[in-house]
Amino acid sequence: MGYEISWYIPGRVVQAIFTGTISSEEAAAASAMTAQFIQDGDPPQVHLIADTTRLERFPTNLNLLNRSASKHLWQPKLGWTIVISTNSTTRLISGIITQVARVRFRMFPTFDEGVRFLADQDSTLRAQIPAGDVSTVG
Amino acid sequence: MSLHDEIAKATIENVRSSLTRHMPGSPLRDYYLWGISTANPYREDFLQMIGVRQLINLSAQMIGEVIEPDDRQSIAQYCGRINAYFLYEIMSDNLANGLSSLSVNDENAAIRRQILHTFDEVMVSRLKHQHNATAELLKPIEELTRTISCFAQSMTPRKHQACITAYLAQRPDVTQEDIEYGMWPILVANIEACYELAEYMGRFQVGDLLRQGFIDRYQGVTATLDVDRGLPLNELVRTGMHTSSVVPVLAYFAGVLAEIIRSEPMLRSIIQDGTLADAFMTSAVIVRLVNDMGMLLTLSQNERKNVMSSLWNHYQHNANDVEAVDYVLLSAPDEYTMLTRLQKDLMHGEFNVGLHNLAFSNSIGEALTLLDNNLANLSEMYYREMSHLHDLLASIDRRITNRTLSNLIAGFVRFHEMIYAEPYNSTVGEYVA
Repeated sequence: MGYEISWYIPGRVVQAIFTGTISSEEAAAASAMTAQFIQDGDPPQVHLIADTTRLERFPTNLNLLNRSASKHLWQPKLGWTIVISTNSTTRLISGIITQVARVRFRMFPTFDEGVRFLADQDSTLRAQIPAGDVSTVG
Repeated sequence: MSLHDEIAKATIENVRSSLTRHMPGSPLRDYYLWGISTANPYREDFLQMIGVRQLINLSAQMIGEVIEPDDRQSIAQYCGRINAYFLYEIMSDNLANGLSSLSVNDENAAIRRQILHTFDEVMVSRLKHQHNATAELLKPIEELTRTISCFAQSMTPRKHQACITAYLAQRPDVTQEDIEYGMWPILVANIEACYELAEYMGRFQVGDLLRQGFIDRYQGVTATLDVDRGLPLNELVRTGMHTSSVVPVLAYFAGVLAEIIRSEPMLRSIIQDGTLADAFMTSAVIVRLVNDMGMLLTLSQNERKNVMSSLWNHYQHNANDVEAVDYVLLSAPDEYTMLTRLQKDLMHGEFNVGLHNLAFSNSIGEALTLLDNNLANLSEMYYREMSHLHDLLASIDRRITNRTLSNLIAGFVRFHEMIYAEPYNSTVGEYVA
């Protein structure tokens, strides 16, 4: 399985790690699982960090992704969507899909920068970020 | 009460009545009845999401300028009746999302095609009085519909999710799947509501135009599903013009205004010689063009050249990352929202007369060149049809006793031009947003 979904900060930040090759079916399943995590999370907002740095191949049909692999983007509690990647195709696709869904989105090249951004946007997270994950926070 | 509020009240009443009469008892029916009630804390979002707010706005704008204040309450009831039918139309229409030529077939594309083919056949045969067994004839597709998420098919899945979460909190005996995958009752209700409208209006002179308009609409949907190759533009427009329901809607309101509320003595002559039908069909072409291309149609040759030039530059700048022409169009900077109608149909996989043939191009460059040609040709067609409509409306004005019908038709076209100039994912820009 080319994906792993878990809590980065329980109830507050979901972490989705993608590796290798992801099929359309796996993308849809990962989205559904992420949606469940978000639903189970604490109000008012649950953020998502998606690490795609080790992803090699993934579905790129926009219409398909929008319809089948965006269930997590429908969740009313979804806060920020942070994608960790240096791939410009990933940026293009993620930007389009999140813009259509009208969710807040940023992309960063490293996990450290992504987490720091989240902590800046949501100060309630700062005390909960695992020690050593971010060089300086706030 | 203002006309808008009268129509809103009548629409909700008619929706409630129709849900009870036309839709089989089901979790989905209960959800919709709750959704339109004051028990729903997201009632306004729900009404926007299912298209009711925009239907109310359309009715109010179309009718507002052509009626007397004393007729408001009566007219509002007629608006409410047709709006209730359209509630179902929006949902069933969404089944076609993801079936355009530029869409990659997803896992249930074939199932949705089959559902739509059966639905369209049962609808057409019901309208032709060939049966009175809608639920029975749709039974074979009931299990198939349980594999289709009506949220995923919609353009506002996020709003659907917010509403349903609130509902499930009040109804722990119901699951999300019961509602999200429970669209079969909508299909039954769609057919029965349409049939009832056609039967009611069958007593009036416009009745045949309305019934045939509905039949053409559903046959048109089947035709757009079956187009699997490139076609000449005018053929694509002819195929697509009926699917927007313009003809039956205009026939309905023409009947309400010129036969029911007031009696127009010359109506028969403009029906019999085909003038009224011509005006309706021309409006249908214009609304189809504007639906698909938006304000790109109104650009001058130089302005169009600038837009295409920007697209080419954007493509060349991102050539390593774009795999297909939809990437170019969906990611292009669009300061004046010129591309919004194209973007909507690309993202949701809907039939679009200007984009259909791009699926059969051999490269992104070829697709962009084709788009440029399509824009030029469709723009010319738009101006030709507008001019023809102007002449037809002037002819109608000369022959009948007042300008009610011409104002109705012109107002209808104008309303659609206005909303299709807005970003498609704004509250104003689409029936459901």
